[in-house]
Amino acid sequence: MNAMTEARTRVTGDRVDVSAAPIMSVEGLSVGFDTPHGPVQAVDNVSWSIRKGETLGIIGESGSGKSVGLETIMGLITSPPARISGQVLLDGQDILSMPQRQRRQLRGDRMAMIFQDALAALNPSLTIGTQISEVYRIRRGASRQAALDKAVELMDQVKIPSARSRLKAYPHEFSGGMCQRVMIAMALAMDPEILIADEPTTALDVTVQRQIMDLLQEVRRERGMSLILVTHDLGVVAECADRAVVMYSGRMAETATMRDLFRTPSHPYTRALLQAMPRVDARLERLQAIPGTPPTLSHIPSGCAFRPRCTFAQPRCAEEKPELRMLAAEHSAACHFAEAIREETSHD
Amino acid sequence: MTEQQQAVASGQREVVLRAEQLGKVFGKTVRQGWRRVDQGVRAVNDVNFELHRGETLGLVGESGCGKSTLARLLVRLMDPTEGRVEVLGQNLLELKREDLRQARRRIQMIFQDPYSSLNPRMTVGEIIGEPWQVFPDIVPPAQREARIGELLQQVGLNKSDADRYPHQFSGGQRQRIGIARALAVEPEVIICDEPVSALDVSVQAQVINLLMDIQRDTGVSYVFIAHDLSVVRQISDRIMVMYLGEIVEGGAVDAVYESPQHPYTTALLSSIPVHDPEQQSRQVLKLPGEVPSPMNPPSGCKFHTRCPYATEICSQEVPAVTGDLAVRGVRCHHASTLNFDPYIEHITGRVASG
Repeated sequence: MNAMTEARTRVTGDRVDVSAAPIMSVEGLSVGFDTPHGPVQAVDNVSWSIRKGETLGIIGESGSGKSVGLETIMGLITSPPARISGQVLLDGQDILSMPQRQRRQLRGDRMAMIFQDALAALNPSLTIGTQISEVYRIRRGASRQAALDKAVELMDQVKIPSARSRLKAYPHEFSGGMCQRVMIAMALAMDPEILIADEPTTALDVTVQRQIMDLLQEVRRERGMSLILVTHDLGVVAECADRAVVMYSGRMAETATMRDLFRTPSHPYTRALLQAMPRVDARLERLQAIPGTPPTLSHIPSGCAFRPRCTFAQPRCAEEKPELRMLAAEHSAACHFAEAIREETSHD
Repeated sequence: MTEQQQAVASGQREVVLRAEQLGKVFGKTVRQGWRRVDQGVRAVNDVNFELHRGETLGLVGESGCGKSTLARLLVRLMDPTEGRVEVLGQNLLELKREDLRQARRRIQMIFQDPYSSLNPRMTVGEIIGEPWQVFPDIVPPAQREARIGELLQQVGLNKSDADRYPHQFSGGQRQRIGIARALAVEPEVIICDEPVSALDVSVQAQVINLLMDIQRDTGVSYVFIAHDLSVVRQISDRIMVMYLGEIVEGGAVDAVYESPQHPYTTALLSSIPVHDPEQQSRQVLKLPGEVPSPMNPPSGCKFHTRCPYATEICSQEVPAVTGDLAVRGVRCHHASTLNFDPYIEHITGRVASG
């Protein structure tokens, strides 16, 4: 087994102290927009927290509100035009009520974000060197040369080969995986405590996805940083995250540690998602597909939004919106029958 | 072995699609005396396979490996620079315009992007019925409306959807419309180019099930192109792995997944994130770098620049194919000496010793 320990994705001792106080907590966050089709609620009463050094997965399909919530936390979505309520506490202070000037200081130093489409997120008309070093010049007042030296250092850290000679390269000269590394380098520049990664590997091939996930875990471990990993890929979350939040139609369906989420999924949606995934280790007679499609935000069903697709649905589900209830330590689900489902899955 | 695999193994079933030494070079080929020299990008090289009735051949590889080019060659949306494609024994490449059109009745295609592959100005009924303008004999005009209704039901939509427009449907539903359009001409073969990769997980399973149901009911054959190895395992009988325009390994799907022989196949399989937080102890065969540019492919074995097992011979000599890539074969100098068991524990469930 010796040869294997080195390759383990999770290393024992890397576990997070679960009694530690959260570094950031989101409390009752709601984000709504007025659209030509009427008001929509993109994020509805979402609460979670993240500890130092922890990796939190946020799982959801398109339109589940996973990106909108995080963009609001970063201050990329503001009110107006959005209607935002709830709190995002960083060191006990609500960042949503801070003035923009103060929030700007948080970005980079306290938290940073990377996006799915790295090529689109970079400025095509500036060199890589300029883009990475920019933040040192603006925020730290570094000289041009000092800032470029820092950029080379960062590029080495994210394993961009022959960094110095590539300072003058433009984003289009880089592959998708390399652009993602550049973005990670920019995000790390100010040494943030929290890194938000929004589908960082979705556009990448599997072998490159593996490299980027390894890199993210490595920088997280080295810097004691917290990582919020947004993805629709349950496999990526299973490998990297300590805990996860499952989103459906703007609301939290379930939140649990990875072990609980995969062993005793207690929301019908989580359970159905796990069953719907094709497996690499076996060919199934038939996949257990979830019927129907995710609701559009302008037509969210009454009561529980998952009800029309749910095999457990009862008349009650159409009338009463299920609240998130705690089932066990670090495990909550928003379903009227969560306890029964949890009981059932734990015997499977 | 399933019945299907047995039939394939014993070669009983009819061959519906055959590719022989199929290749495509973008750019030009010049003659230097008796030699032809490529001065372009070789996107597909030396692809050979036979597809049997009712069978699914999976084709996997990373972006830029030439799998979509291969798909386009198979339906002759693009002319290959070498080799031949036969559909039911008829060489597509010799056909003139009208005959080619007729041959396409046998071979259809489903595309990746369900948004750009449907005409936004046509109703769903018009989209599905359009192929009958080319092949009026398939369904007599009086029965067309009823047939459109049947096709819509076959793909899990409602008869009444025929009057709606594509923008009124979700991605998964649009993919179903694309499938109905392909089925309208009752083809023998459907080339599916990444048909589920744009769909959400919960919808992806529906479309995979639908494709499998249609195959069971109609006996249609698929060439199924995807980069998601779990999806390919679910739907395919056989699989071929592509790297930089070449097939590097192929065989029955269980054989390839449970005992891969090429380092690239192994790297792909071991890189897949596993949906089980407690099964994360396997070794991952990690590849350095990224796929080289096809403009300037490496010498010898094209994979040697990223291969952890590469030796001198790999950069000098092009590896010969051991076996038949379409049945069970591999293109690697060292295939017979490598043991990949520790990298695929998550697939086989066997814990490798050591």
